[in-house]
This record gives sequence, C-alpha cells and structure tokens, in this order.
Amino acid sequence: MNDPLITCRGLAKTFTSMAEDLTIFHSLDLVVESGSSVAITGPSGSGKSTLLSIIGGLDRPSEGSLRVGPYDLVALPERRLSAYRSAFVGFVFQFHYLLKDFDALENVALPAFMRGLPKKEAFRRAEALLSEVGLGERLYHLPSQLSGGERQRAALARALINEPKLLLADEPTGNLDAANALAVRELLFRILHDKGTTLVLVTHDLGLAAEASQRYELREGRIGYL
Amino acid sequence: MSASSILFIAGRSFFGKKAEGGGKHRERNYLRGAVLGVALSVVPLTVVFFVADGMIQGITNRYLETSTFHLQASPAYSKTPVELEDTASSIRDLPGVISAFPEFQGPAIVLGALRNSGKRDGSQVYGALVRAIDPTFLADPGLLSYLRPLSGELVFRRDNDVILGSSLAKKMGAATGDLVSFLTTRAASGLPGYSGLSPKLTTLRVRAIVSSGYEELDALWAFVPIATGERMLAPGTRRVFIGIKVKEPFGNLSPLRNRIEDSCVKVDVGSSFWSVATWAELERNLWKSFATTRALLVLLMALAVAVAAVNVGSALIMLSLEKKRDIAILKSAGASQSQIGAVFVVVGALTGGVGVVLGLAAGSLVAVFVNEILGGMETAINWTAGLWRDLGGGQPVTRINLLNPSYYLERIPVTLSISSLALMAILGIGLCILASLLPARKAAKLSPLEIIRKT
Repeated sequence: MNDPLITCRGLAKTFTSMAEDLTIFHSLDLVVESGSSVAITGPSGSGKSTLLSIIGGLDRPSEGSLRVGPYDLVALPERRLSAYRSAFVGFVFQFHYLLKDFDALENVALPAFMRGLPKKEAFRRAEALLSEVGLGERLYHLPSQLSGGERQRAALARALINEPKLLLADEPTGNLDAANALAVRELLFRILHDKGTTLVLVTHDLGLAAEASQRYELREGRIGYL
Repeated sequence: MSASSILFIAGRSFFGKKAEGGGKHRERNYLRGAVLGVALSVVPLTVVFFVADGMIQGITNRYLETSTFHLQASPAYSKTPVELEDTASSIRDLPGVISAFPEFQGPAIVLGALRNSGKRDGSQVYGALVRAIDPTFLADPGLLSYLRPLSGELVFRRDNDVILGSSLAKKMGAATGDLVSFLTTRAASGLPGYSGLSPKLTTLRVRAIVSSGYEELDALWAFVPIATGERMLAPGTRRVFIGIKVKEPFGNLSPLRNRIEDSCVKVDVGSSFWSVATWAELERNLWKSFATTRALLVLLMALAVAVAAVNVGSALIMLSLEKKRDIAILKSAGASQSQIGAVFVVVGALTGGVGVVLGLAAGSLVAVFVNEILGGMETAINWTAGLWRDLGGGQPVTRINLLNPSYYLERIPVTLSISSLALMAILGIGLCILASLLPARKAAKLSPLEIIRKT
C-alpha cells in the first residue's frame, strides 16, 4: 500500500445564505493513495465538484480536516494556497477553458511560465507535452482553430505542465462525443500511468469511472466506496 | 508568477495575437477606446505645455535681448554718458560678460508726426519711453536677432535721429524721414523765478521704424543717441543704468553680479552706491504672471488627462468582466491575487503608455507647426469671411486674428524638450496606473470557483 496523498476526516461543506444553510456533504472521510486513481460518481448536485474544488484549494471546507501531501489545506493561508495549486495540483474541467488570446503552446506553457520557469524551458516542456497528447502539429493554433477533442487534450497537457502530484478532473469527457471521449480517456490514464500522477476524477461517465482503481459514490451528503 | 510572465499575459491581453482571425474582442475595443481617450487628452496638454513655454521663452528672450538685458548696473546718482562708458568698459573686461551698454531711459509725450509740408498729422499725443542708447547697441547680435527694421536703417547718422517702435510709429502716422516732437521735462532751477522741472520740446527725425515682434514693446520705444537723451531727459526723471549681457543668462548670476558690483565701485571712485540686478529680479512680476498662467493652463489640461485615466479604469473594469473566466483559470493554475492584480495594473500602464506616446507625438507635431496651423486657420477664416462679404451676405470685415498681435508674439518659438516630454509621460502613465488600481483589486478578488461554476 502506498502512502496516502489525500486524507479527509469529517469534511463538511455548508453554503450559508440569508434564507437557509445548505449542507452539501458532511462527515466525509476519504483517503487517496499516492499514484492511485479515484473516480467519484453521484447524481448532479451531490457535491462532487465542490469536493474536487476543496481538494484543489479553490474552496474551503466548512468543517473537518484535509491534508494533501505536505499541505494542511484547512490552515493554509490564501497566498500559500495559490502556491499549492501551482506546484501540486493540475485541473481539467468539463469545459477546456483555454485562454482565447493564446495559442495551444502558450496555453500549455503558461502555468509553468507563471510558476517561474524560464520562458524557453516552459515552452520546450509544453511542446513535448502537446506532442505527447497528439497535438504536435497544432502548437500555434488558437483554441478557436482546434476541435473539441483537441482543446480538451490541450487542457490536459496544460494541467500536467507543472508535473503535479495530483490531477483533479471534473467531467473531463463531459463535453465530448463518444470517439473523442474515448481518446481522451485513454490518453488520460496512459499519461497518468506513465508519470505516476494521482488522479481524482468526478464523472457521470461510468465507462470512465470504471478505468479508475477506486470508485466512490457521493449521494445525499455522504460518500460510499463502490 | 514571474515578472516576465505578468508582462507576457498583460501584453497579450492588450495587443492580442495577430493570427486570431476575425474573432470578436470587445474587451480590446474598450482598451483601444481608452488609448484614444488618453491620446486625445495628452494632445492639448502637450500643445499648451510647449506653446506656453515657447511664448514665455520668446517674450522673455525679447525682453532680455532688447530692453531688460541679463543684468543691469545702476548708480545711485545720475552719471554722464562718459562716466557710464568708463564703468561699462571695466565691466566688459570681466570674464563671463559679453557686452555692456550705457543707457538713459525716461518718459516722453510724442506729438503727431510733422510732415514735409510742415503740417502736423492729427492732434493726438502719445506716451513713449525714450531709450537713449550707445550707438553700438544697435549692432548687438542679441538685439538684432529680435529687433528688425521695417523701414530705414538701424543706425544713428545725426544727433537728432530717432528710431521708433512700429506700433508707436503707426499710431502717430510717422514714416521714415518724418519729424516727430518729444515733450520731456528739464531741470528749471536755472531759470529765474522757477524751480523743479519745466517742459522741453525736442524735434527728431525718424531714421528707422523697427519691430521686436511683440507689440507691447513696439508701442513704447523711441531710441535716440545717448547724448541726445541726456539733453532730453532731466536728472531725476531718467533712469540711468548699464545693460549687461553675459554668456550664461539662465545660469546662477549671483557670483557675476558681485564681481560687477565690485568693478563698478572700483572704477567709479568717490561713489560706492551701485546696485546690480539680474533679469529675474527686474522682471519678477512679468515672470511670475507668465508662470502662474502657464501653471493654471497645464493644470486644466492635466485634468483632462485625469478624466481619460478614469476612462482607462472603466475599460479595465470591462476587461475584468470579459476576462472573468481567464482570471479563474489563471488562479486555478496557481496565480495569486497580487499577480492577477499586477497583470491588470500592467495592462493599465500599457494602455496609458501607448495613449501617452501617441498623444505626445501628435501634440508635439501640432506644437512644432502651431504657427503654420494658426496661419492656415486664419487664412481659411478670413477667406470665408471675405467670400461671405463678396456674396453680399455681410458687412465688410477687417482681418480676423486668432491671436491678437497686441498681446502675442508674431511667431511663437516652440522648442521641444525631452525632459518636459518625459514629465508628461510620467504624469499620464502614472494617472493611468492609479486609475487601474481599483479594477485590478476587483479582478484579483474574483473567486475562481464561482466563475467556473457559472460557465
């Protein structure tokens, strides 16, 4: 058994509004081993994406403890949270969210460049990653000049540019047709396997979830191992 | 985020990418509008800055080279021209001094010109300032660069020659060769039963009519030989001084002033009362008035730049709204609040910078050609007015001057200064950076999660 990369204990998330408090999940315990792949399924609105955002440092839990690698995300100040996102985590969303003013190469290189890598090195690394996801011929194309599948592959390359220990994917094939979804799925698991990156995946796609080494379901505020 | 990556992102947000095709980029249109606003606001600032500077410099130089001199040494008691020349001669020998000219000045009333027929032209009288000068002053290069003869020759042939300012001559209806009479005062203590001053009428022949290009000076001056002036102007009614020109009139004149004062006292044995004043002291009121007017004009124009800078802030708010998703992605990729804020400040500075550069270029161009532009506008206006009159649509019109020559120079001397351009650039860009702080802060505070959830 590998060391745990993510350890959640008694995690809860409640959205507070004027009218009422809405608890998304509570008493959530989850341990994800380093190098494993975890799929979280569940009905819409069950809090899958919220959980992913909390693990990714985009949101804070209302209660409980959360440790990801050496980071205690509950106690981590905002400034160090951005460093955590930069160094430790890669995000792939349902929508590619590529920056429209930047070509594929620049989109992929940007997180590394922002992190402080010299521009030349960041672009060299981005070029290699884009070739790895099959976009070696599309380096200088803008997002508007790429197909849906190509955009998502570029988004995957962008998520991996800083060689994160943890990849968080929120419905990464949700916007793709069957053929593209399959291509992205294969690519995702192949690259993760090669690089030894830990994956936490949120999806409705049971085929995609089946590829993961562990599967959980989030339903009615509680998480269960499948 | 490294500084170079901030510049890279900001630069791309501002300039875009060439190969992006026909995509819509409303946010960059906001920025272009803001650039145009800044550029348009900087144009009048630049023009006012340089034209006002040019006019002040032009008028100041005219005063300095034609009447105030760089320094003036004045004895406490009146001197004869010979005594003044002795002192002037010693001043000329001092290092840093170019020339020194003795001069008497005093007020006079000028009677209308006497024609060859012996008939006086009109019954009006005019005030004038008699400047009794050393004839060598008429050959001074500084004077000649600002004083040009409109008729006659710039030299005294006889003791009764007078050189008139063009506006004074015009008011009197005097031409070269005419005789004009000057009413001054003389000491009457020698006359039986009188003391004090009595009137003295001196008739002189107009040798030349000159213009300094500044009507205020041209309306006053009547140059006469110093010996004639000594006879015309009684002691007590005349100002006696030595006008001094130096190599560095705009430098620190204090050490030279002390040396001149020492030299005057040394030569003028028996009188230790000489005072030496610099041009800045002599023309303090005029200088202060110019400086205040210029400062007010520049302040008003700077307000226009401030308004344009606020427009940059508005454009950046629109940019932050349009780029919400990009901000969220950058944040999810590890960009901190301060780094996102820095990107917006840099975009604000770029917007201001490009606008300022365009505005300075256009403004400098207008300033350099301001005389031609004003001349062209006057020609067009007068041509249109003339056409209107010819078509029977109006009363006969006199020539329309956009800048009344009574108060302005005939030609505004404009010199661009790199330091002034840099100052305006710093002001413009600084205001734009200030205006971008609020939108930068707003953009930095955007929650990436909320944006990603909504899109």
